[in-house]
Amino acid sequence: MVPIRAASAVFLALFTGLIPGPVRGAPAFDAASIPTRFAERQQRSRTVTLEFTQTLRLAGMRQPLVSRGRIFYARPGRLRVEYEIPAGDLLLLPGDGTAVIRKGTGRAVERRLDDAAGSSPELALLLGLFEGRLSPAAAGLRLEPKPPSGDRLVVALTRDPARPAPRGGIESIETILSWPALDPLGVSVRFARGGEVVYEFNNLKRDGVLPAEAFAKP
Amino acid sequence: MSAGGPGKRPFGFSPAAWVAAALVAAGAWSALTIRFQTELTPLFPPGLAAVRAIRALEASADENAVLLVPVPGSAVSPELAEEVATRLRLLPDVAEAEPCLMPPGVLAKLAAARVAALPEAAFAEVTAVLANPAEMAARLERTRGDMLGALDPGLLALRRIDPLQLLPSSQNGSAAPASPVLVWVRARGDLRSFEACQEFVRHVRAAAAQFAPGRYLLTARPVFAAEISAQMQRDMIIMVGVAVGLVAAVFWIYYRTLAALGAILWVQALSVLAALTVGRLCFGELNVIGVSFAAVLLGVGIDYSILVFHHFAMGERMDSPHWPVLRRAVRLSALTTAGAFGVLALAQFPMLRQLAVLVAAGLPAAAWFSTTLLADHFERRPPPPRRRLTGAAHHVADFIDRFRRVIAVTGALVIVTAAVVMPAFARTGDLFDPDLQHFRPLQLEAYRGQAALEEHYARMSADAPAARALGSAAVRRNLAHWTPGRAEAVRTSLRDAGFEDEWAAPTASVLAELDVAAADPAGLAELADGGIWRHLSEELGTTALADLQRLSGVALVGILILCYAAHRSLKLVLLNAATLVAAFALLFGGLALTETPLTLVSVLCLPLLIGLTIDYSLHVLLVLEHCAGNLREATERLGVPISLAALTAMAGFGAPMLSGLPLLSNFGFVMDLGTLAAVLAALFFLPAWHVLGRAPKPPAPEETGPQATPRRYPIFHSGPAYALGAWTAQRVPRGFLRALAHLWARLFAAGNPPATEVLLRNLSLVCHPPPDKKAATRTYLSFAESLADYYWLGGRTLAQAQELIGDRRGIEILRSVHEGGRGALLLTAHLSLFELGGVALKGILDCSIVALSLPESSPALSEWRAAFRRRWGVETLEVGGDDQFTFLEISRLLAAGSFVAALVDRPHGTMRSKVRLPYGEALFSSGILMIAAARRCPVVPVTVIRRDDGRYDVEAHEPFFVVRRESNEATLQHYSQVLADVFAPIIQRHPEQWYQFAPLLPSSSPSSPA
Repeated sequence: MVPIRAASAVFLALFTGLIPGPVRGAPAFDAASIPTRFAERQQRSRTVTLEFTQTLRLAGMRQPLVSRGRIFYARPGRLRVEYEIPAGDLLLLPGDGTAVIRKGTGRAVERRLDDAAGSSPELALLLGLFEGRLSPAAAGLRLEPKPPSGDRLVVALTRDPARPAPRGGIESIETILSWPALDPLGVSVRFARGGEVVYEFNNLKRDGVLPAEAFAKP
Repeated sequence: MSAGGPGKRPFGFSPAAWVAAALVAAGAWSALTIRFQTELTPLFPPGLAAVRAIRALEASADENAVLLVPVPGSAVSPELAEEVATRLRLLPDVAEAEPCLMPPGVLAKLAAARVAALPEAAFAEVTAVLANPAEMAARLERTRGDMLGALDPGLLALRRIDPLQLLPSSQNGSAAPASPVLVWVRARGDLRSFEACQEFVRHVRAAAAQFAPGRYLLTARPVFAAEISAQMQRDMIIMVGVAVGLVAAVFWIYYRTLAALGAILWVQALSVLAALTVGRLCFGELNVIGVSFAAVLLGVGIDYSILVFHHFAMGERMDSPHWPVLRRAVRLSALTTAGAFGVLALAQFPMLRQLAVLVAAGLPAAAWFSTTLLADHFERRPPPPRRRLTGAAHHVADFIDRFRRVIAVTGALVIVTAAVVMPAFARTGDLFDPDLQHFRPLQLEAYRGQAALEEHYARMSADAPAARALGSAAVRRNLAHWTPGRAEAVRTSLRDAGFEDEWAAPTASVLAELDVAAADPAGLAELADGGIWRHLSEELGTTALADLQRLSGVALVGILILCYAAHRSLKLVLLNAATLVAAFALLFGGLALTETPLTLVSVLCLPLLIGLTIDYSLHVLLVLEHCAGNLREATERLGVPISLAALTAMAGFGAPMLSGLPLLSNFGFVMDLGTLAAVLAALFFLPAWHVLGRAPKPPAPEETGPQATPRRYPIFHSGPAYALGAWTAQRVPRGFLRALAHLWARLFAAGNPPATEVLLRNLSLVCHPPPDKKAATRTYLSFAESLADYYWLGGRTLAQAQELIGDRRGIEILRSVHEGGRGALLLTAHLSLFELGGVALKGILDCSIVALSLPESSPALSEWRAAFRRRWGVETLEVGGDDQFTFLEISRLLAAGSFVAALVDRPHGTMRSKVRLPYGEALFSSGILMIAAARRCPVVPVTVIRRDDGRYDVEAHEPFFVVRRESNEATLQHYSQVLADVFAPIIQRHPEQWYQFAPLLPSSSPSSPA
């Protein structure tokens, strides 16, 4: 019987040893503190660069529309969303209260940032994300960080069922953060009555040196 | 039938009371079941292109939805629109609330209009794309490309509705304004009733004001219905209250009684119910203009009641000789005014057609009830007389009489000035302003919202001006090249490119609109042209003016005919017409002075004023004629009621000036101005003209006989009528002609009570018991037969004509007179076909016959009749009076041995002698007897009488010579009586053949049995 007991003990020891324990130094999950911690994390960085994939799914379209590119962010309030697919598209917030938008090889259009944010909600969304705001300005959305799953954490912004979204309005936003680092890994925006745009972020680098002309207007 | 007449009264109620009871029931049913419609476009001619465009646009919109449009200049963001929509969604009676660029349904139509308005080459490109699947696939690939990369919600929205990039803004890449700042709100229930509209609009307005105070304007059909109905309710309460108050005050000032006003208003209510019933049966609904029929009826119809009331207030009753005249005047006036309005039924505007039918039905009802029910009521409960009014009327009459020349000249100058100035004034465009702004009460939120929405559309069509410049003609040309049925190919292309059918739906709906427009391009062409309201104003203005010109002419001709039927005098009709022109001149002068234009609605005042002026002037003229030009009496009878009627009409029409709706205010002002003009023209100019047109000194009482008033001729007594009669008689058998004549006689008898009255008075001189209306009808029938034979003779040979002669009695007397070589006077009476005497003698006596004749109603008729007599060898000598030249001419004829024929049983000229007839006295003209005395020629009384077999007996009676007696008067008196004694027994045997339609007695001479 001894060998059996020994074997059981070894197995138990091995099994329990395989179970990952709390990561050393990682804070415990506290939903209420997530927005604050995320904001602190983002605001500590002077610059951020990353690569992204934008996937647009529209109701009634069988194939999603996939675009790729890079994002440059520099505090305070400067953002460049530069598309490689399709080449030439550009969203630029040079930090002077304006927004420059260019489609393909067309002429860049400069507008006031407030007006641009009103008509292009993803601008406000991305800028808010890099400045550490998980909750965009849209009213009627409830913020709910969900417990981490693996190295990811999802912060959901959902609409009050009593106040449904208008046609084409934002139904929900899900921000995916790394855990416990709270780096943004992606954002998914669902629109009322069909439609979704998903941004996936890769190769995020903080406080790197940005190209000199990163925020120069074209 | 008159309520006061001897008719049957079932269950003790007059027929009018029974009709009133039935009308109350029918009116109540109509009021409960008639539909009220507040929409604007059903008022306009549906055939106009702009109207069709607007109706098409309206049909696209959801009838149960309202639209929130940002106040121009206010900052409304899509977020705010979302917030407001979210808030509205929480309301229990809201089914949907969405921010939007345009209301659903309108988008496809506007998009189709923009495609249709493309330049020819661009439009050809669109049609080529739709016919080419490869090109469609390429465009769809570009659309997919547009959705990659930087997200542009505006562009996405545009591609979502136009994936093939057919719209101009899609082609040049400039996205339409992408901010969905309108909020479209659909009700859960059906917004049919005014109450439902008001309730829903109140809820939406409150919710919008809570979240976006001062930022949004509400518009769309339910808002219009809610606001206009609320405004109309407020206006009606104010207007009716003010109008009734003013009318009551004026009535009390005049008559110091309000009890009578109750009876008068009851009659007005009956006329309104009559019109409402007709409206319910004919149309089933009432529009906002049609509703004003009640004001028109009250304004005009109350005149009739006031005239009737005034008759009784003067202490007169239904047995007064003035009553038949007044009753006839009221009814004729109602028919004339109703006729003027009835002509509007031929207008192209549905709003006018409805109003015309309602008023044309209501006015005769008002006149009939006023002269039956109301008269019956006042007969039983006579109002107290008001002497003070009489004094005031006399003052006015004296004023007019004293200054008649000044007033008459002023009236003439007004007409001349208007004739000179009006054309220039009309050309300035200040007189008529068809701008639809007059239909837009800007204090209503619905209208301001509509204007803001039009601005919004204009901004969305920022690239449209170039297309607009093409004009609707280019749009029509494009649509002519359109190939319908492309929608399925579009769906297939989209499916192949990975798009579901929902992406094809907007394009398919645009193509469907183009398919429809290709068959009927008018509506879309106007829409594409961009100036739909401007076009509407222009088209309505042109149509209204065309209607006005066309219908005013028709109405005027109709009115003049009716006036002629009333007066039987061209001079009086001209006076009517002059009054009308003067009234219009005064009105237009007033409009020019106050710088008030006529609008599409106040143009309605013109036919109304035609009716009103003719109404007043007809009454004034009939009474002036009845009173033999006695201005005091006429003013006493009419001045008071007409001025009161005008004041009440002005109170009724003036009340709309308090309305919040500009079109009603304008209508009220123009109508008041017009009423004032009508009264001035009818009560001042007309009497002055009439008095001037008469002898300046009233005739002495003895002379106040039938000839003291201008001679009036019946309508058949005219040249054209005789020519028509003769022409007809040559083409139809005698029997048929007589049957026609019988029909005419019966109609004439029924339609001419005053003429019948005169005839019966004359017949009563020879008949006992006094003849009744049947006797009058028999006379009319007999006269018609004689007239038919007269016409028949005109187309026959002498032999055929002489077949009509039965017995010739006393021919030997004539022969012996003739053989004596002397001429003779053949004196006869208006008995049977007296003209047949010439035919009877032709071929029997070889003598010259000359008929003396008074001038006819026209030279043409005189000539026609002279030619008629000439066929049988009878010459005509027209005599105009008792002048020496006439005497000499007749003497010369007698000296030459001619037979001179004349009628003596009707007074004319100044030589008249009173004769005794079996039951009264009459005046014979006796001047001719003086010639017989001077020439010592025989006088032969001659009579013609129709037998039962239709032939005529001609009889020459015992001749006599005129021997002078103690004086000329005594001589004439004596021999006139001799003649009367010869004729009277024959007339008594054949009273129906004595055609005396003119008065034979002085009005002051009572008839007494001889």
